[in-house]
Amino acid sequence: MNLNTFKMKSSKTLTIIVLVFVGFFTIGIIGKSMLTSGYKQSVVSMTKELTSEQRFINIADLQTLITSGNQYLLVDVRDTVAYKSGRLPNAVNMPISELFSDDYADIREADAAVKVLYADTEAEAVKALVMLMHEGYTSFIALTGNYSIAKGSLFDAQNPAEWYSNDEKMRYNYKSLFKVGPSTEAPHVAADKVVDISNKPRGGC
Amino acid sequence: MGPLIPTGIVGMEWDLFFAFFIGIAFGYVLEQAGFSSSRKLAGVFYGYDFVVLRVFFTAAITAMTGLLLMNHLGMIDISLVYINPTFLWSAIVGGAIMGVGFILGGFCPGTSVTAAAIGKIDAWAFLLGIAIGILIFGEAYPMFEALYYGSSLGPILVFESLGISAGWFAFILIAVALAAFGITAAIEQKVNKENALEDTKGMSYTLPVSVALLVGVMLIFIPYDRLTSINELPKSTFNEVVASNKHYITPDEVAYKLIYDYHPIVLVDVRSTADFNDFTLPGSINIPAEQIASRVWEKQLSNKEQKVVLYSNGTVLAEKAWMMAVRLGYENVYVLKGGLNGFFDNLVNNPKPNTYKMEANSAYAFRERVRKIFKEGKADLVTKKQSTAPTVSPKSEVKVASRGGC
Amino acid sequence: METKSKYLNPYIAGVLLGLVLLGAIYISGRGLGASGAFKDVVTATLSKVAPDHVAETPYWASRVSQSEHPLKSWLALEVLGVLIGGFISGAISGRLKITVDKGPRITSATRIVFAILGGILFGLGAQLGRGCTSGAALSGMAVLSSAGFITMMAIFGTGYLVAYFFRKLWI
Repeated sequence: MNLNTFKMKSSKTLTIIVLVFVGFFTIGIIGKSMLTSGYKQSVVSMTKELTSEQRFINIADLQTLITSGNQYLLVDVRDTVAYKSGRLPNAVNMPISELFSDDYADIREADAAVKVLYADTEAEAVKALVMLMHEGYTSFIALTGNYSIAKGSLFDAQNPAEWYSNDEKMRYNYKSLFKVGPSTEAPHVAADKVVDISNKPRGGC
Repeated sequence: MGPLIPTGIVGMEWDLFFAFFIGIAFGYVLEQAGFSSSRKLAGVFYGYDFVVLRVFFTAAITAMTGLLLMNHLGMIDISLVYINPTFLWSAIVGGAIMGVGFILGGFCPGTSVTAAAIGKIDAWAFLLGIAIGILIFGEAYPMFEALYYGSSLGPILVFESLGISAGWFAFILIAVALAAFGITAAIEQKVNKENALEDTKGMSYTLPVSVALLVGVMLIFIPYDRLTSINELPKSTFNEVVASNKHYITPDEVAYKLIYDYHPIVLVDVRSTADFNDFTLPGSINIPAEQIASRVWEKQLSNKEQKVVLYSNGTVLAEKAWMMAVRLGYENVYVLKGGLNGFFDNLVNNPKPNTYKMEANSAYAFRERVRKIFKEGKADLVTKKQSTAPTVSPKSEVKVASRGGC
Repeated sequence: METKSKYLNPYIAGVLLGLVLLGAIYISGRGLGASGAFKDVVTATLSKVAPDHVAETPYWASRVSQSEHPLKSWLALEVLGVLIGGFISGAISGRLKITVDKGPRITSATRIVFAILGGILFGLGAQLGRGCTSGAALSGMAVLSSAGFITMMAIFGTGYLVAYFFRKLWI
């Protein structure tokens, strides 16, 4: 083959490969950014933070925080009616339905290093936390347990037993309440058989 | 979507088939690049031919860029890709030994195979040497064991070790490679007066270089974390769904399913595997909340026919997993209201209603029955179909996901 | 007069190789490799030749105890592909020839001896370093693993350090 034609060809080949490669991904990225609107944190890092301790504070630690003299802000995300009828001392109100309204901008932007979210249930506080994290607010954490436990143990009765309470605490010995009877022996055998069948095609080449 | 085989999109039985064809492509490209010639390979150390450096770096950068972009576009789940674990000293010492072997033998294992394929006798000798080397290692293994397993750092990533983002690292690597290509080209021209750069002549590199730099700059802005699939819910829709509170399933509905296997529900235990093994509702599968975003579970979570009900001890953990699942675009995912605590509350504290309303009374009667069945353990509540679920799917998937090694 | 190049432009080859590697990662969730296949071959041969010895030596025993035949592995099949791919390429480009590649100042016998020596070192090093230039360095770099970069730097760093002493072999 003539050397020059070969060189021309290879030059074109490289250009085409690179362009196809780049074009494919450019279209993908543009398409993607049009289809999804910007979360400030990826699912992976959100999941990591939500399943670790770093974004949560229990009642014992909250008490330490309160007595430590560090800057903090208690944020009540229940609705205004509930807030008015009772709240943790010094808590401010930012209803979960209006987290991003202009009325509460000063709470969202407040200087306090730690802003503790609480609600009637832990799940509700976590919801608010997630929405705030998605918007890029990083100073919020959520209270484990809930408003009534926090109020009862921290500010009223001071019952230390409740300090570490949280929603995920096992409240029953599940196993003792849920006996698996003799009639379930048979299904276990069936399960093994199914495993066998599903493994069969794996061996082949 | 990908990687196709670990996610189960393509059956495991195709794995070796693809291995063979990937190998053919690998061998073909190596030979076409001139890697079948030990003199060309060794040239990189003496400055007369830098083909190894060019091919090696271009390939690493291409694959790395492609992987980062695929990851960004949600085409591949990087957590299922085999990442070489780092054992610091064995990597350094092993690499050093290989470096000397490279100079002496003029090949590396992959290239020696292609050279052997086209009839290079020295390559066959090199292959024989490799076999002897492996034999020596196997026999003297106890001697190497401490070094082999010493200073294990796990599958760490280079940009994390350096404390920079993946995008910046990729950009720097591309820039360094382009600079190296330029410098080595100049060296080659000095050292090898007769036929320097014979492979790379004859084309303009302005466009490829500028495209490579452009891609590098683009990579800086691309986060490494999985940014979900194309199905990711827009933020406003996500907030609406989360606020609407329509995602709860009552304990009664779950109890009904357990007794009659009537309601089309898939139960997903999002607690840790240890908790799952200790106790779980019959027929549940285990997807620990930390793994909710992994593509391994895509099939289970995107079930369209049956409601996928997440539960934990309370509501919170399931709620967290649920929110991530919603954001990932799974549409048919629910949360067991109150979790296991709520489920048993419902049965243990079942107050007799003080009313003549039929609804309340029948609910009471139902719970009483459920409680009796569960407590006495005489129910046929576990049907065959249900109890297979936890044993089959998670185990086989996990086995696939943890493959790899050289 | 320009000398004729027999080979593909290395940058094109690099992009193609990168795409092959990307394909392997996308399909099988793992990078390319080579040295692992030789381990499988050695294990298989050894378990045929000296099954007793294999059973006694922990390193080999751990490899044959699996129910699958050692050669029925991803890497073994892939390297078989490399052999065939190399042959096809050589045949297309007219490079099939029984020959010895060597530097101008040494004899073929010397070259063979050093090739074997180099092979031994590479075999040993690849076991210790958990993969060779392709398995550890190239694939490791593609997935941004620290091990990939460390191995790569160790191989080429040492290569440059000792290159001077063995220059007679190549130039």
